[in-house]
Amino acid sequence: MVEENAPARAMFLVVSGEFLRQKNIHGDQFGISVLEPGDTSGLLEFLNVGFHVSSIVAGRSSVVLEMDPGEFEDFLKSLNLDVSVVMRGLCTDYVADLLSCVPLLLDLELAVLKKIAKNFSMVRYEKKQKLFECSQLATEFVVVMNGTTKASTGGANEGDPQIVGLYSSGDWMNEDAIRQKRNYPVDLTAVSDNCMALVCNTEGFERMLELGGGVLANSMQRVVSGRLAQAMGKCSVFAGLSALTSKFAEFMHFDEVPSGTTICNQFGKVDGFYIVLSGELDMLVDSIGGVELARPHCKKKLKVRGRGGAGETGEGSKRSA
Amino acid sequence: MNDFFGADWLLFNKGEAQASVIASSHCVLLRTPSASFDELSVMCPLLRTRLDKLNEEQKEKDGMELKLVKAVEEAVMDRERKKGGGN
Repeated sequence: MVEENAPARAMFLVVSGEFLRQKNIHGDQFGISVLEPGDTSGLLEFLNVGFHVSSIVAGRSSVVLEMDPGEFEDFLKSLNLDVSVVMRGLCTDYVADLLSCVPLLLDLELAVLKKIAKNFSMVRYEKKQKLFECSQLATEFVVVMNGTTKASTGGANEGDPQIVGLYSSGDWMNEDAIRQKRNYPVDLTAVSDNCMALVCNTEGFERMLELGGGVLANSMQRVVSGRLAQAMGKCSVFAGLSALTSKFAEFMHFDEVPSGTTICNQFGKVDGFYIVLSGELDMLVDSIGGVELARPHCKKKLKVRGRGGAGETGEGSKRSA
Repeated sequence: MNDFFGADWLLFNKGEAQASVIASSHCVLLRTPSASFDELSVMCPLLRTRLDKLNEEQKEKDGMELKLVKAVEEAVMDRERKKGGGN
């Protein structure tokens, strides 16, 4: 009845039968809720984003009443209902439905999701609009719900910005940066039309962690371990050592390093084993095999090699560019 | 593939860096602290074998690299000497 991404021109009131609301996440259709007589759809999308974020499929003998959103407002007023209260309720329910198909939140119960949903807003972004920049302190937890966004190292850094990943429906970002009170890890820019994200501020994010409890903490841990193992699998010395990569994941940390930072000096102490996930480093030597050189020599450029460039940004779930 | 560094220095050079490493752009790195890496390399003999092999290869490369770098240095100094003579 309604296709995802179609322009939202009207709202629907279910009169009889049942409708299934679906959301495309990484190419798979998730059934996110069932609409029954009395339920409405399309109003929030009409008012907030201008297109349908989810699709609706009609069951047998199902009937809807198509309404102009203005007419619906008049209808609510005629029933002496407070429009803003009704809208808030609709918004919470819809956001909870959308959050229910985000991989990070899959294990949470709907009642918990409804509480979490109260802290999120639906935000539409125009193509080429930046959702956030890595020069800013991370204050928003972002879940991309529609369209595609591009993560890149910031223009504020030296050198050309490097694309480090593409984020689309169901991908989330910034949980580490918010918890560690750091800047956003990347610049995130909308690269498609119909880009919409669910966004919550720091307080909302903390409340989400509180409400999600151990279930959410476990999901986050699982995601982080998977991410680390995936990054390590792309490192030649660990190829085929999957049992070891999960062990390593317990000890590894993401380090973000601004341009110009010295990680170690030749003949100084190195404080760990490093894997490059994005960006580029110079490996310089003043001497080779004990023989002094007249000037520093660049042995190697350390980076992510191969088609498509970098790997992880240290946040969210995403596909490499 | 993701480049890496530090493993051979931790295992074969008592943690002494054999090069300076400087970020030439904003970077995201995954770091395993030295103590944890030592522990994990003991747990996995195959990893240790791979790193042993890489270390041997690196030594050979260093020998060739040194010859090349020295040759370049001499050529540069030669050119500078000639320039100086010209003045």
